[in-house]
Amino acid sequence: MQVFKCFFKIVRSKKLSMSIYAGIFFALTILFSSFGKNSDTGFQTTKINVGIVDHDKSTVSKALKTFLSNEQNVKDIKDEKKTMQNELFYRNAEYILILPKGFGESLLSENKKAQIENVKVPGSTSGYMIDQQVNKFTKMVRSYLASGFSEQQAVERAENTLRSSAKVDLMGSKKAGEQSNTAYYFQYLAYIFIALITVAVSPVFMVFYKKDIRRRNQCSAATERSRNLQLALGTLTASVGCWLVFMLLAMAMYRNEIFQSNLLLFMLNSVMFIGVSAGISFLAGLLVTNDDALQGVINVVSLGSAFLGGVFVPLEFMSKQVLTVSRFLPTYWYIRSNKLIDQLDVLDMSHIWPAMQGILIQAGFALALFAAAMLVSKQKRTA
Amino acid sequence: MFWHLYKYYFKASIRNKSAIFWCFAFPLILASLFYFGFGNLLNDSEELKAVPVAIVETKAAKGAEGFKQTAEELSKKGEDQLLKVQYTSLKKAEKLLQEGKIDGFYTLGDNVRLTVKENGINQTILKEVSDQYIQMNNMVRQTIKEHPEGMEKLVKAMSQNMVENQQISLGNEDANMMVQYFYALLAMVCLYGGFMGLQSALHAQANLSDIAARKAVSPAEKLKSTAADFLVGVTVQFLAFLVAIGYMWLVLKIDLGSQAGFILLAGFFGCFTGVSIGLFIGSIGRMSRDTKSGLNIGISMFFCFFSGLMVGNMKDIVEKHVPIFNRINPAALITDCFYSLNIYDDLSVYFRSCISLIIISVLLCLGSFFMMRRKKYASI
Repeated sequence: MQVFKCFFKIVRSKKLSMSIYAGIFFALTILFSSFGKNSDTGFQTTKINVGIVDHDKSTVSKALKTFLSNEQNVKDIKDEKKTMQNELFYRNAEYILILPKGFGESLLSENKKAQIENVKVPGSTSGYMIDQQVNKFTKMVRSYLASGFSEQQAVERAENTLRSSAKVDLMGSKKAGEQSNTAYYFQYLAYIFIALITVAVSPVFMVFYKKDIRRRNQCSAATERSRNLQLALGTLTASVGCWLVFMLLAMAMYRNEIFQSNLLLFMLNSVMFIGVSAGISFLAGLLVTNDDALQGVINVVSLGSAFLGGVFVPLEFMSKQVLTVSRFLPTYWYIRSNKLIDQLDVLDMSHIWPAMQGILIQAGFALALFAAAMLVSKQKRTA
Repeated sequence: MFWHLYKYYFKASIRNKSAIFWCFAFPLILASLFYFGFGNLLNDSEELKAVPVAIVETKAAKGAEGFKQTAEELSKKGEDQLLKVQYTSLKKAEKLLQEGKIDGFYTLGDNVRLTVKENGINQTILKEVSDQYIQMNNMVRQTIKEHPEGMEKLVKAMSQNMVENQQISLGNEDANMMVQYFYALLAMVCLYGGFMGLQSALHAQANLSDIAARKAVSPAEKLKSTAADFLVGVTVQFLAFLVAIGYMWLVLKIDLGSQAGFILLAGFFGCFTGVSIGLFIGSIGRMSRDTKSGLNIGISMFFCFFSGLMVGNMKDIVEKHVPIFNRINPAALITDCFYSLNIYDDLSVYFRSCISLIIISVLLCLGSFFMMRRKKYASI
């Protein structure tokens, strides 16, 4: 097993870059998986970040604030231009509501117009939503007042009435499209698998297919067949090993939720993807001839497929044209299946099938990559 | 002599394929990926668009005539058209929802019910529409019960707008947060100057490169030749910066702000800092070439990460928890320059960040100078 041993000697020599990629991955997952929601809670409205500057501090202004905080994420912010600009840019506040002094008083007096000010992204959906809600509240207080309720009653009635709401039914998955931590973890695997496997495995093929070494090997006593088998075994061990490590880590990190999810399907999907990654690294190792170039190829291929395949930015946000291209990437199918598996709550064939389709397409990609790599290696051998 | 060294090192630098790839081509690739990936987010993703919805009437839909009227009003064509309504059967509505052709459907029975498939802002809007209808109905019912004499006034008040909610401008509402990623990318380009700086340092230490060994026995002054190398690094990196920003401006047409002169100036200081970082790392101690280059990549990625290259609002998170780090992280300082030009009206933050960059570069250069000077190699 000389070749096999040598395989891992080369892999080991890449441990620095491998640990850099692994580090990036953990930074990413820890950060992003905090976005994950473990919701079986059915439909939930999207909350908009609203900042309020309350100069009035009257009963009415407080009631308005309470009403908005029931429906949105509301926080007080400083009446300072730079703070507001920052909060708005980073969308910590998508809407800033400024209630001037005397707002409550003028709302409660019959013929005065009440003045308020807001800052929002012009023409935005969230801006429209909050405009609507502020308008609804003020109008309701005004209307109750006009029809003869006392000031206090009007505010109380408005608050009460605004609690009533339409019933919402959820069709399909109880998760309502919210992604779980586990799904986020598996999503980022699509980036790290390609990068990590290529960084580890490609150099091996680069070495074994270097002109001089290849020629020396060809006239050695070891047969071509045994060498290739050992290389294949090495690739298999490296990929499956890498996959196992990440599976165990997933089970350790998300032990609270992962066993309730469709773990087996997640694993099936990701093992298929590591096959694709192995194919990519095989091909890259044959086509690229020096270390510097390999670094470039790894970054471009792993980041490129991750961006276009929907690892970093959800596929829904991409334009149609880009999506057309994305379909030609295995990552796209991996991510698509990953999402479907996450949302599955009925496990029968007709529900699993769409996800399985993606997994089979990945298998196709893996086969194609290996076939292409073998073709190249055949050519190299005779060259 | 200085310009002679400068000229030849410049020629050598632009023939270094791997450096050219990382400094010139890679940022362009990344910029394109950002552009394609963020596609819709960069343009008008937040803009209000009519929400496709279906209405299903059941036999008991007598109390819901008013809702149909509301829906009709909200789907009037125009700038603030909110709904795109179609009336269908229940089966058809379910099918449309399943296929994602509509975001939800209302079932009108003795009350209004909403059916959706997933959470989202459009679904939230649909809920708000039906909520509002129900709430208004409740108000009317309550008034009839308790103050029937006030009904007329109530109806009048409902149709009147007595509150003026005026939109004011801070000047930056249009700024798209996605631009942040491109700022961070430009900061990355600047810090990639580290490759060039590292190269200069390696070319000055005879134990690390053959070129330095040759240079050590030449009569050229070390300060002069290293300074020439450094300047070449800044030149090449600034060219890379120009290519990257030119690509964003002219090809991708990203709105980076209008003060081009100030943006380029900040880019220049950024490149200067990037090259200094590389020079400094290159001249620390006796680590091998590979370790130093690994360290260089690691450090620059670390800075870039905290300036928002991977997670757009990272800089804001840091600002809230460890603001001091934003004041010394070169990548954050560079993005701060661009950001402040785009968002703030005054230039105080811009100048503060530029001055910090200059101070950091000068300190690093001095540090490298003291570490490198008077090194002699008896035998290599």
